Amino acid sequence: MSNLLNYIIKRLLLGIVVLIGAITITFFLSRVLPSDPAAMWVGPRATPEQIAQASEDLGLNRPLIIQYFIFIKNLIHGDLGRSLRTRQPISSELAEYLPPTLELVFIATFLAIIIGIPLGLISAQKKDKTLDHASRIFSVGAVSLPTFWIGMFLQLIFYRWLSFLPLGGQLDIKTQFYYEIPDKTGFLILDCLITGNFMVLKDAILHMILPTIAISLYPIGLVARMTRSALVEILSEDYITAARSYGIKERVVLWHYALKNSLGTTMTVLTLCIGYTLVSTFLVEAIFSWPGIGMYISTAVLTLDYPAIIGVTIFSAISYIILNLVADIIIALDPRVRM
Amino acid sequence: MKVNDMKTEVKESMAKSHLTKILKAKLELLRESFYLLTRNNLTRITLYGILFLFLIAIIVPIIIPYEQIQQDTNSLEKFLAPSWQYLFGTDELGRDIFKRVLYGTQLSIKTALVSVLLALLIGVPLGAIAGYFGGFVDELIMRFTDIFLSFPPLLLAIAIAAFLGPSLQNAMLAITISWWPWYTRIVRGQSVSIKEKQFVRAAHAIGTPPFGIIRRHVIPNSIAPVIVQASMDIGGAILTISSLSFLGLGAQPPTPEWGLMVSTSRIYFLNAWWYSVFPGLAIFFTVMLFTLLGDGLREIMDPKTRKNIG
Amino acid sequence: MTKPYFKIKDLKVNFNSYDGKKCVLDISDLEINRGETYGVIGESGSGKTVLALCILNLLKMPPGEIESGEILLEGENILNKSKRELQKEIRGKKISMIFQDPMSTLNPVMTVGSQLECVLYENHELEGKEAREEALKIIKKVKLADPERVLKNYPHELSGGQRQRIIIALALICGAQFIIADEPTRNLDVTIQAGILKLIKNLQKTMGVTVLFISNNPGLVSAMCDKTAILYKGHIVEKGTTNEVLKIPKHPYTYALLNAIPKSKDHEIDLSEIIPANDGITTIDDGCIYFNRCFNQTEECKVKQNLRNIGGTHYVSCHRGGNFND
Repeated sequence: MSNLLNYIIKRLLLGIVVLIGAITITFFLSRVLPSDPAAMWVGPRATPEQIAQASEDLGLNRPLIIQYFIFIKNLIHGDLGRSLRTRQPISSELAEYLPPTLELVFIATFLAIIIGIPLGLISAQKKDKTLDHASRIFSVGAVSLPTFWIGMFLQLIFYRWLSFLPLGGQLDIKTQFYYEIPDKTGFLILDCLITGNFMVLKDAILHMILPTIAISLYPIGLVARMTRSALVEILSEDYITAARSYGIKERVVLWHYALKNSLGTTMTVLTLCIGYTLVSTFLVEAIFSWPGIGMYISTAVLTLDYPAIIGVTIFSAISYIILNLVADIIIALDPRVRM
Repeated sequence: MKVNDMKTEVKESMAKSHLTKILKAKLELLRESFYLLTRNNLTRITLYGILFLFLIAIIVPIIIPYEQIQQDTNSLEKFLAPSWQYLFGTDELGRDIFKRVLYGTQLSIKTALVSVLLALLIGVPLGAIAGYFGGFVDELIMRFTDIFLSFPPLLLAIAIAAFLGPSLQNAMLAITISWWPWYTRIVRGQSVSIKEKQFVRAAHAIGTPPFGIIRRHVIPNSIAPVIVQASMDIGGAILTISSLSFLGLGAQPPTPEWGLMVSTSRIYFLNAWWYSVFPGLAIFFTVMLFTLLGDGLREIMDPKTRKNIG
Repeated sequence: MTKPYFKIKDLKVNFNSYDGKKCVLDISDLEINRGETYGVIGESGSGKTVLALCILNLLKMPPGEIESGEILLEGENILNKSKRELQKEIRGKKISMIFQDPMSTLNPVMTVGSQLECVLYENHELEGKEAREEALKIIKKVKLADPERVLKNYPHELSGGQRQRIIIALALICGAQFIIADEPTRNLDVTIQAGILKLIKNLQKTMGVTVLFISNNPGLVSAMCDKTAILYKGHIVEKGTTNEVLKIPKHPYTYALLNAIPKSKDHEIDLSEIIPANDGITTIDDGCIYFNRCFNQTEECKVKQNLRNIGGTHYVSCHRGGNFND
């Protein structure tokens, strides 16, 4: 057990080092700008005195190192700066825009697990047979689809041609007008379920279908592929042959013996998935007018709102580092890792 | 005198037979790889597909000079649906989308290849050095790598492209900078086990300088998984570049880049479906081919799939 | 004549690669009676493991291919059975296997105890407390120290000798009456080898199982087995009782093999007689399989040699029938 503790401590330290490194890189990135941040802050019709004042306020006159430490100090307090576009504190804007994105990320990851893993498993078991080929073509297709495009394509088919599903947004204007929108946790679906507001729930679900499909395809394909390749390797191991020789049912061999050995790969893939999904939202939300971080950052990119871009980058990086930390610790539960 | 002559004669003949042995071994390897590749129907189709792509990439710029694409605008023929004259229809400036999509082929492939190659050039040597020397050097390089890998994929590319200024070149640079760590990690993992092998220790024992060992033994032996990953990454690079262009961070108008075309079509596509569908399909098929190529390569390279039964 | 307990008839197994089709096993006749210990001696690459895996149909079927033949257990051809039938009726139930390399044949992420319990559940439908008791019993039977702790250990926490005993325990706990032991002591030190072999022999006497003992070591086979067959490049070149085959070898290969073991410090070994079987030189088609290495070649050797009886139960696939001139 102390082995495990050692490992966790080492891993935590590593995480902190990496965190500092990531923040440093982002900081220097933000200072690479060709134009003067102060001038951008004040706007195109500012006087030189206003620009100078802004420079002072934003602390741009201090030496770079000092700026760096102020940057870190602000981060610790949760201050990510202010958006150039909206003038609001970025951290509060992020807090507001995070839940809808998290909804999509959770559902996509969930689908990736319950569809991707069994698909990969069966594919590996029936290797080179028709089912395997079909599933491989599906998963290769899924990871080759440009995420931004599939969203548009789905809109084309289901909204334009079939008139079956809405174009975008979380809710219809009509629904927002007639019904009271619950706001307990910020997660719309959850709130609807908690408050029992089924009319809003139905509308919310309808609006969620297309963005979810667009975001989930890549993770499902990725998980299926990686599960399949991990399992193909595991299934060729001698201990699987041995288990079969003892007469153990194929079902048990697959789901018990083989799957247990793939914990490491599964965790790694999952983290990758969540990270990728988070960033995919940048591409998809704008198309669906989904009020999440993705839309926030794509607007930021278009309007060259550099503080906002930095803010989202840092936030995503920190979340991803924590995620990886947790995944690594779970992987360490595998007895072999701590040998 | 005579002894020396004999020595050199023997050396030469040994060198020659050694060379022929190596050549024979390499030919044998190629033969086996080719057999394995073409045995599988899927990989055979993939090979043909990739050849087809490269054919387009090479021929199209010759047939259709770039100026023709740029000055192709014809305001009388805006938003024409696909027809025999305009196979993929026309866009908001009356340009022939078919020609633009074809042209985009070589653009995408070239930019993807360059990005991945550069990332390899940085990542592979670093990984070999880290794995071979171990110790402090290893820690240093790997922590550095970890920092870069701590960003979700694509995020760093977006940030870099945003801050360096939107352009195709910066998008390529962004990809290189965010991707080299993956190769470093793969190569380092391989190097760590290769450096324990007998032939490496032998080379060390006879006094080969460390960088010689890395160059001649470590890198060639660790390159297999890298090649597999890199082929799939060419597809990934095409996806990333088109995504960056979609966001406005990559190719700028009027470049006929697929992602940019999809982005421009956003305003119009509900009424002009062909504008977004064809460039998107182009991305899809191209990426799919490279992904399948990577898969096929992995099957050949994996020693387990060639395992004996007894 | 009563049906033999176990019989292999005209079994041909091929291996397909980019080089073409290669025959790795060609056994025309092999019979084992109930309760016997039957030894098969062969070098690396002679097809020993192929034989072992083939019986339970565990060969990897692309590259591998069973071209023809029958494997009869109590008169029933088990090669015809579907994988499901095999799992339900044969594997573990009637035939079980002791593997060669205990490190790779134990599941690294399951404790020894849970692996044993899995097999117990499958073959005897035991669960929970009963299963744990049985698992403890078998661990004690294979003479492992500190059985309680061993059950809770993971394979990598045990030594080579301990792991090998676990593999044996796993094969035995199936309760099958026919055990295939594929080089069960290959990776062990000599002192541990002796212990394991004594154990197998003891268990065989007390539990009355039939054993197919595969090895590359004639010494072990002579100590353990009633009958022996010599495998060369997938063909049986000599078979009979152990005494017959190993004391008075009649096939040039057997002779060369046995002479390769130094009997004393002054015993000279003529290396020219012991060219390894697996150097890729193809044999002549339709001729004696051992032609290229035989020190006794004649024109008659260019015809395919079949096993012929040269007295009692002793068979040799050589027209000379054991008359060498050396």
